[in-house]
Amino acid sequence: MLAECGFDEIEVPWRADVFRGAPQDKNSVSFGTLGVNFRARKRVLQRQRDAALAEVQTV
Amino acid sequence: MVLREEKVVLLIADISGYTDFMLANEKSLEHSHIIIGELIETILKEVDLPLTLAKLEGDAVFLYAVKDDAFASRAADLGARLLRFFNAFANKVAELTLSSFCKCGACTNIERLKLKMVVHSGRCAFYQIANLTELSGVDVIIVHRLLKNSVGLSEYVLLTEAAQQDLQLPLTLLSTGEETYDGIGNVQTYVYSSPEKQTYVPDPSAPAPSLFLETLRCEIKREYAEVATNPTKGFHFHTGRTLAALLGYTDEMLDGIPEKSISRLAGTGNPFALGVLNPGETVVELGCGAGMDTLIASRMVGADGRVLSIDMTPEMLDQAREAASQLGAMNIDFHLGYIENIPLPDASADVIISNGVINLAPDKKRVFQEMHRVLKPEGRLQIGDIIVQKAVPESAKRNIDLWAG
Repeated sequence: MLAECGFDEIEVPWRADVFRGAPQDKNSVSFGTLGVNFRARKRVLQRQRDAALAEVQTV
Repeated sequence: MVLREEKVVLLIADISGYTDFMLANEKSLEHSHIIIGELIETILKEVDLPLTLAKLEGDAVFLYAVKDDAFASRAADLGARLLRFFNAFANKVAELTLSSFCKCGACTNIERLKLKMVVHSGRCAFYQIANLTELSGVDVIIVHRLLKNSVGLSEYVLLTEAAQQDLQLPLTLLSTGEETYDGIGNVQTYVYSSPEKQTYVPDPSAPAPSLFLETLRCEIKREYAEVATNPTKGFHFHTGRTLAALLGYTDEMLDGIPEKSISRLAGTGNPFALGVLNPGETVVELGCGAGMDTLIASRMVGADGRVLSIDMTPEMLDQAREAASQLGAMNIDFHLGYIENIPLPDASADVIISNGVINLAPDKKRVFQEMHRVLKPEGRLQIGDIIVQKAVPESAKRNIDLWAG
């Protein structure tokens, strides 16, 4: 979904069971729920790159 | 200006119990309006030729069918369609009842709402007023007067003799009656009082009604308001310093952050483990809670940077604002709202951070699209959230306990 929405360089470098042992947890295990960190970057289209480059060259 | 006069069938579909429902639920007005709106939309979806919408009148839908050359061949189908209105209405009431887990007066009384219809045939003039077409004439008055009647039931179709001649509903289903109105006199009527309704069968692939989405938000707000007011109560997630250590927050990150923010941490990851934020950057935090990550971000971007933090739970934002004030952080704007609507212009943010919040949004694609909109080209996402490793059945997606607890 992230790629579909225009993001690149999607990475999930960390995941861990962050719910285990929580006082009222009852559902995380049944769905295999994990906490994750993920990063992504807004995709730049070639025409945007060209426009940015042209702007720099003008300056 | 009169545009034309036509022979017409006039019909008003009215939600009975509406006035009592609204008066009894003054404190639940938002949910009352959503419920009535969904029911009105359900009626409108059933409207098809030869019926045309004249206008909405509060809890009622005013419709007409012009008795043109094609009307005779459609009249019988029109009668059958009226009876299908009841089924559609009852199905929506059942769906809304099942969808709402809210305990407010409106959500617990949906089943009291019923559909009644009055139908009359006659002539009317079509007027153009400003850009609106208005229907006018004695028969328009009569069909509205019919809403006040002696039927004494909450769901029925009341037809005048003229309307019954046009629609030809089976006489075996009808009882006869008479109404008397000042200035009009006696009106002979037929009453259809036992609408057949099929048992409601939920369609898991159908989009969730907006009432479910609103109820979901209410339940999530309630849960996180509880975290804000009583952070050590014990939840289905860890909180506070125990959680911060689990998620890899370092002492350096937490140094100087007010305890009120740390103790209310309810995240699922650590956006700062994905990279530092640079001085001068504009950062958006989606779902800032009591502000722990906001304050860390504020310190990283410095006086030349800016942090916009959004949360939908007022109790959490109160805590975040107090903590920011305690720390003297001047580069933060807090905003009460939903992460689907970020109050920033296009391409204005360098980084978006969030921690355990996107999973709570029913429409995640909308959230990602909004993130994409406000980020500058090559702008970054640094997000902590959750994944599920086992398929979640459609039925479970409508289970409020799995969302909020």
